Amino acid sequence: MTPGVLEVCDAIRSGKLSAAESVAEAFRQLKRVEPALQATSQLLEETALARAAEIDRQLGRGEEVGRLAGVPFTAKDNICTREGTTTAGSRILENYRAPYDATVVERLQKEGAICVAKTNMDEFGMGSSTENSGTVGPTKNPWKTTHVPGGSSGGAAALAASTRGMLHLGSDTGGSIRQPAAYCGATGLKPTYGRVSRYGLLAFASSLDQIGVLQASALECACALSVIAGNDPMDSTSADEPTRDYANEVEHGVEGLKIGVPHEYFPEGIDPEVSERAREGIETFRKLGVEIHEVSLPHTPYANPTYVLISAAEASSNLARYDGVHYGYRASAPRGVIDLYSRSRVEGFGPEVKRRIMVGNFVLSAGYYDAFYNKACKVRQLIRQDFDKVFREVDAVICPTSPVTAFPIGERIDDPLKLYAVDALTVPANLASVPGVSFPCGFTRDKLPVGLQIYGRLFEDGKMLRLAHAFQKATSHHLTPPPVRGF
Amino acid sequence: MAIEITDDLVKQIARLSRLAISGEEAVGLQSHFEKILSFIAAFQALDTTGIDPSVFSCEASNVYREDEPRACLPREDALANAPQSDGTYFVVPRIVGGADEDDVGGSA
Repeated sequence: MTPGVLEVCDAIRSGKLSAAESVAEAFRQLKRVEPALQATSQLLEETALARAAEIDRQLGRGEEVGRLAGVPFTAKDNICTREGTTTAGSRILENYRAPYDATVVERLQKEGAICVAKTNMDEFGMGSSTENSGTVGPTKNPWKTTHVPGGSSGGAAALAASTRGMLHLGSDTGGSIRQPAAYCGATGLKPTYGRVSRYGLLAFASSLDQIGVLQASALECACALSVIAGNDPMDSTSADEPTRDYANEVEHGVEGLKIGVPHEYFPEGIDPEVSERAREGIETFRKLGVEIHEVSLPHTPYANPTYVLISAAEASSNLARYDGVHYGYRASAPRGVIDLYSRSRVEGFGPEVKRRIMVGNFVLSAGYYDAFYNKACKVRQLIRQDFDKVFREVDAVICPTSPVTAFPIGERIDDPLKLYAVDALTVPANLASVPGVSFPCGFTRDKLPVGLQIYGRLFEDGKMLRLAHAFQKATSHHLTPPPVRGF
Repeated sequence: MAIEITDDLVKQIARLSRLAISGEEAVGLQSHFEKILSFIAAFQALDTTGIDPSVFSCEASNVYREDEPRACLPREDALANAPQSDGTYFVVPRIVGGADEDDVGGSA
């Protein structure tokens, strides 16, 4: 069996595997799946092999090389890396080369991990299918290549499912890690807001964005979180909460923990097979000695409209920086500076990004601010209060990740509202800042993975991962290999 | 609140957004705005009397640090991605006395 991240770490530290071999194996796998999946925006082979050779030399001299020495990782293309380009899947940043590494990248590299590729995504994270990539084109689902991998971290999710022995950084603003993880049969972690620094993440909606990882298992997610979590002076919203050894914490038992099942997360219109697999998954927890309680999060139906509004408002402000002046695409022969801004932006941004900027500026404009933006912030407060109340009774909440499974490419892309609907069960975590993890809980008759999701209390990412890890020790869904794979 | 999404409103929002949209795009955006308004209408009826708006994602408190000089991005790195520069500055079309001087301030 192809080794996972933990086995790669052990093998390198004990001298059974070199960093060069580990990186070569990563490229073998990436190149094997890429023609079918189109999951990466670029491979960073030259710099990765050079870095691996350097780590091997350090190992040879007996030097300390870090906890993740020689472990390959990929970064979603909205996470800044000095190597290669950072495009956020947008034509407006097609040739952008970041002058610095994001804090998460720096932390992984400091522990000896090696960046091997940038992964494909919906432009600026705006999408749920990775069909909105303005640079690469759509990524495919490794379970069925006629279907979407979910999004916006679709490239990372497709690789988390179809390769082994690598870490995959993604970002989640309304479900962009968890929903693609569900569609691809991977495990996707969105940490508590502030748990991981956002420095070097190209901002979409700053009060909702969070960096996390997509992996083959909750244990691998915990291992990565131990390295990337923690306060960062470069991100004043990163929390000053102590971090933990999450990989160790997940091994603690789950007997006696209480999880709540909110009936609002099994809405009318949910795919019956999703509902059935999720219910079966919840039964597995009962067998593990976890107490199951019915709970209510009554404002759940309002979460998606609230998210659509708040995220658009923040995006309209964040994306104002792309103006054709400091970096990125510039329209030719501008007649004046406003013409330069307006044509660079209209030519550089894709249709969905333009729609969201427009909606955002509309709800923030004079006369509409109170009725829309301010109202949405109040509803957000009600959603947060729902969670506060439920988390006084239970340790975690469990629910399906998405009301549907992966859908055919092209099915929803022409109707934004139909596409937004698949996020209905993931956006509440971002609005409430709580951590969420999605992991496979079975398959449909068509052999498409179904994701189950756990929400934890603020900064109880470890306890949440403990539940997911206990589930994965008792089941084998996460080990079932997809038809397209590199291992 | 009942709002009519007129062609003029869409064009005004596009101007504020600094997006030189075409007539065809404006038509598509008009129908998109109508759909979005009906989608978010759901929470308009929700009673939020006495609820404080949640703007921050966490217990927000000011983060202070000493105001000490630190290394910053070297000029050549900062200019490396510029579409046009003269090696010292970013170069843009003339603003003062330029084609759209009146519009530079942009008002809501």
